[in-house]
Amino acid sequence: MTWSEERVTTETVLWLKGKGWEVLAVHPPDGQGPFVVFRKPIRNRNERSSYHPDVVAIRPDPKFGLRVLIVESKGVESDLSSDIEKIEELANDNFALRWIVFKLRRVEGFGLSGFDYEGMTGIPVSDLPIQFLFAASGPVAKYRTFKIRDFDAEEIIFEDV
Amino acid sequence: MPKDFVIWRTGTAGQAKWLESFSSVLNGNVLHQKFERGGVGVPNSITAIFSLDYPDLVVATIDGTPLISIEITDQQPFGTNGQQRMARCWLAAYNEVPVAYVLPLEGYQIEEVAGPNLPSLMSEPNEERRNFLTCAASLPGVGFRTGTRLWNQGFRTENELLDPDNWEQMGLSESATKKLEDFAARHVTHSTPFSHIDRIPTRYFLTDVEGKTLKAYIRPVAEATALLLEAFEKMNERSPSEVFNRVPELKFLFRSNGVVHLMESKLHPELNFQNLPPEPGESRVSRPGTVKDDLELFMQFVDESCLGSRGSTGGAARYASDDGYFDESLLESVVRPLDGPVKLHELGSRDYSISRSHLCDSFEGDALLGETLSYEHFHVLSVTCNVERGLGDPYSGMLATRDLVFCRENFSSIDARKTGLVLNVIFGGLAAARHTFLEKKLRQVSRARIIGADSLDLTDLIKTVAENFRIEEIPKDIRLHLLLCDFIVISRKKGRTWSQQVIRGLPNLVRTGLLKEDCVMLRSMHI
Repeated sequence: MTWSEERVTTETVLWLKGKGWEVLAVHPPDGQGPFVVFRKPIRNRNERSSYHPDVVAIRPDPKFGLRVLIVESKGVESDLSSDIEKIEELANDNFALRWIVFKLRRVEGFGLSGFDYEGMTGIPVSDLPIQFLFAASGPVAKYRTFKIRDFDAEEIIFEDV
Repeated sequence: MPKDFVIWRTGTAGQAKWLESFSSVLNGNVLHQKFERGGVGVPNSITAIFSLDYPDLVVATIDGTPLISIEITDQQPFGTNGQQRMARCWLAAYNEVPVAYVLPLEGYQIEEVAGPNLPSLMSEPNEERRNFLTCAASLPGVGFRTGTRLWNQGFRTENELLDPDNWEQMGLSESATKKLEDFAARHVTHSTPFSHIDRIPTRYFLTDVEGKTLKAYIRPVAEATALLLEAFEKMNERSPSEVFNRVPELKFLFRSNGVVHLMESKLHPELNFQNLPPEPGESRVSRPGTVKDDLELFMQFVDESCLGSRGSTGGAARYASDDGYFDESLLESVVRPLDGPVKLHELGSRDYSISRSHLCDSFEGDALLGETLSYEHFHVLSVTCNVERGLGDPYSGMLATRDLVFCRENFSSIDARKTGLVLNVIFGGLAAARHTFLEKKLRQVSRARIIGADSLDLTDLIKTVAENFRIEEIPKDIRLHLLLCDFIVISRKKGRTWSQQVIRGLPNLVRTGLLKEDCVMLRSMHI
């Protein structure tokens, strides 16, 4: 039976938690999410001026302190191509990528996980500790890894039983 | 097991679940139902409470008596966004149903800096000067230029800027000193009766992101918030109506502009990761007279409303000018008085007040005689429109807000006002010839149901529509306009000249005896 996008998102969150990711934000299908990433305005394109990732998660990273995972999900595998295009665009938008790190900047005194934003300004954008995950459901469970720009990307298809 | 209550929602399922989870009365004793107009089994009273606009949540008895209408948002009132929801609140109060609005009253903002001064600080080599000027730039009443002067006079530290003993010596104007004093009391020393959010440390004020300089600042309580809170004061005279503050936190400054989201609830893990208000009891206590935070007070208000004991906040101070949360002059600054007759098509998009005689003289022609202008003063909301955009949101809510704040005496009738309400629409550009507001749209709607609609003059048509249509059958982009305005003035530019149409709304028709208060349209709003 075909899964809804909401169910895929929920399963993804559980899967990520099992792999040690701390989930910070989940964007409901028709609602507002707390984690908004501004995008470079593109002239003559009638699109939202921001990215709203379905899930944002972090986990410790020995080099940068943290890694960020941006997740896009769809109910079925065949619908993922538009998400992949969207993330390819984001992965080539230096402002948006740096914005992600800025959003996760540590505010001293609160004990929250966060980046040393100022200390990371010398790091080239393509080396930022950001990675992507695409999730959907399909008749057969699948998993693959690939690259978008220089960033790690994964695709997971949950078996839609 | 049978349930006693229903949550009717147009908001998210998560909001309804959040409400149920933390309400002692609703928990385990409520059905969840998405509201759909015309849906099977929707009681008439529920259709009525959703008839002007769609509340996020309405809690009702199982047989359909609305008990409380609820709005939840994480947007601070700014511009028109907070008022946009007021038509639905208005209708609940009109029906004596308690109303609750959960939102942040002040907030953190991050935006790109305009102008060269602040970006130049990013490359200032003298660290002490950079820190001092950045702090000065971040303080209301001081700013970059004054900061530069003070640096040249020998001031060096943030503590010097924030020390009241120095303010006279700093040579600030009276108004600048007041701004700095208010800011320090609210956000630095926290010495005001209501609690306010923490000041952003100077080191986080400016940030460079890929060549753009961003600034993080506190957007304080301003006119938009004052209008919203004052509207709730007026509704509260009719029915318990309360605003509940979602207090932003500095620790989430960058992640979500300070908005706190429920990220981890041990009590209700099924709510985790959703964009919802946090657990009651987890936020800073916001108002004097209570030890409870506003979300605890909200749940108390919900529970009491559901139990029929009317919602209350147990004596906690209200966010009203009388209680000192905002200065009443904020409301005065919204309205510009007009001291004589005006060319209505020359007004800008804002609020005005005008006397009856000056308004009468501002109307062209003699279509409207003095006896229809039955108030001594009128409030004018003026809107300029050059494109074919709909005039539904945010104007519906803006009109409801103005009705409450500036016009309404009480809710005994639709025209029970101390001041009349005028919507002044100015169409230029493409809109002048093409925009269907209001007559064309109304004729489109009425044609299918009223035989000979096209032959009726507009006043007779409005009267006939009010006698035959339910309010929700009127499109939203003319609905509140007809319902709440005494007059709708429409100016259209034709070449170099302007035409003016003056339309009488329902309050005027009721007040002058042309329409009865028990007509179908006005009755349809009753639960």
